Amino acid sequence: MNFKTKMTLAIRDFIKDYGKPTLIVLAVWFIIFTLNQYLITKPKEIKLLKHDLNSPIMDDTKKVSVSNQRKIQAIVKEYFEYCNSKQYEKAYNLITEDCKHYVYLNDIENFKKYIDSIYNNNKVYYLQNYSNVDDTYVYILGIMDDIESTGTTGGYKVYEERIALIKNNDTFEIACDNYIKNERIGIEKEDAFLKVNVASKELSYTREEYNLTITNLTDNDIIIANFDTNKEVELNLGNQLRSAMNIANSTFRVKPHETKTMSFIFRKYFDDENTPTQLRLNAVRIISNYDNSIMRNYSFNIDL
Amino acid sequence: MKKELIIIVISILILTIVASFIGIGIRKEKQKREMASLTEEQRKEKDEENTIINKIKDMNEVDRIQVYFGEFLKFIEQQKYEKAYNCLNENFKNNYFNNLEKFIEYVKNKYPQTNIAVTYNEANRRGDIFILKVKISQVLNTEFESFEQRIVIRENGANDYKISFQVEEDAEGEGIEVDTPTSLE
Repeated sequence: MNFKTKMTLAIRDFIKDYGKPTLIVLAVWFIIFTLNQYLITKPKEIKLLKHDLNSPIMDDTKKVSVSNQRKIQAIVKEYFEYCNSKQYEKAYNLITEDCKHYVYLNDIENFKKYIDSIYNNNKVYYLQNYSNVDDTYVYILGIMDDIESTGTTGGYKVYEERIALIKNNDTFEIACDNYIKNERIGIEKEDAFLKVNVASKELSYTREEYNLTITNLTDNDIIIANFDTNKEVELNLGNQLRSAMNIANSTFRVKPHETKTMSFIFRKYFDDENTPTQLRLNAVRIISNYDNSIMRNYSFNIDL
Repeated sequence: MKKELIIIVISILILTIVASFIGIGIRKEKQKREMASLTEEQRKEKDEENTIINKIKDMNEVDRIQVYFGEFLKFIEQQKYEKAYNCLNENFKNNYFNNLEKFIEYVKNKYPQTNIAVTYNEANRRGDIFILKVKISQVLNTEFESFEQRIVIRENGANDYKISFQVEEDAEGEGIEVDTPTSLE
């Protein structure tokens, strides 16, 4: 048998005995080789130290999930574009009912004035996550002149406000102009002289406004607050007491058997992690009908 | 069966190592050919770019932004006007320097032609954009009237940036207005 025949036979025998494993090896090798080539020639991405606008400034451990980030970016972009192009109604429809009610008194004309005061040229925006509390995501929305196009020639304006993105099922709604939301409370307390219902509170980024319904159960006037001292109405945060900010120029007085609504505003940051424990009416004064003297002066505290 | 399996595994391992060496060899050959096809100037530019990238890769953002502006001024100083022009934001170009000649005329009149010195007075971030406030002067030349200028820079990637700048001084009444109300009125 000549060499050529021997070689042919040897190859044929090899293929017969080891054909299948050889094919497997070649297939795996080809995959590894291709993957290797891809990884080697892929341009190396340089990771730069960069500030993350999606990382909350107040606590970077409470990041917004990627899927929520996308939804939030999308709705804010839509809101901004409507505001920038003065499509007031479309922008108005993206904000929460609470915000429409509390900030704009359910009147779109008020919203238009607010938009016109900020968006008076072609603007651009930026969005920075600020803090996240449960399903409420607080952002800084910065609206400014298009400084990349102008280079800041002629000066420029920046307007920054806190907006809240509030999750509603699978979508988000916007609360703007530093307002967050309304929170229902519904706690009631009564004694022989007063019945107080703490109905709800309006949360803004820097303050809380408690909405009370007070019923005078007596035949005399009752003064809740008149700024004789600034500690007449306080909010107990556990580790500190905050005085109401809005009693300086007003008298909160209820006539005999009258039911009246009153609001008391306290400075409190939405994301400060303090939980109010008590609303304190420290100087409830029952007034004599004869000589306007104070017949009784006592504290009425409502646990929240 | 077991013997076959061992032979297959060892074969795969050996061939993987061979594939890696071949891959590295192909890549090196490719790089050699790429470098050979570049002109001397292109090779120099590529080296400079790599130098800058190595310089900035561990820097913080503000330092990187300052490096970018430094590079921009270097292009002007070296009369590489087209390179400087290409660093500009497109809309900004359209607004103020819709052709290279206008840009050249501006920088020749505005900036010192040599020994440009820059002092960084402020750096503010607005989203992804930085606004620098710089003072431009000329080293060892007190006759040159130094001036302040605002620079706007957006970084798109490593050594990938776009610049705009304050073209003329603020007139009376012009300037920066920042309104940050934190509570409802």
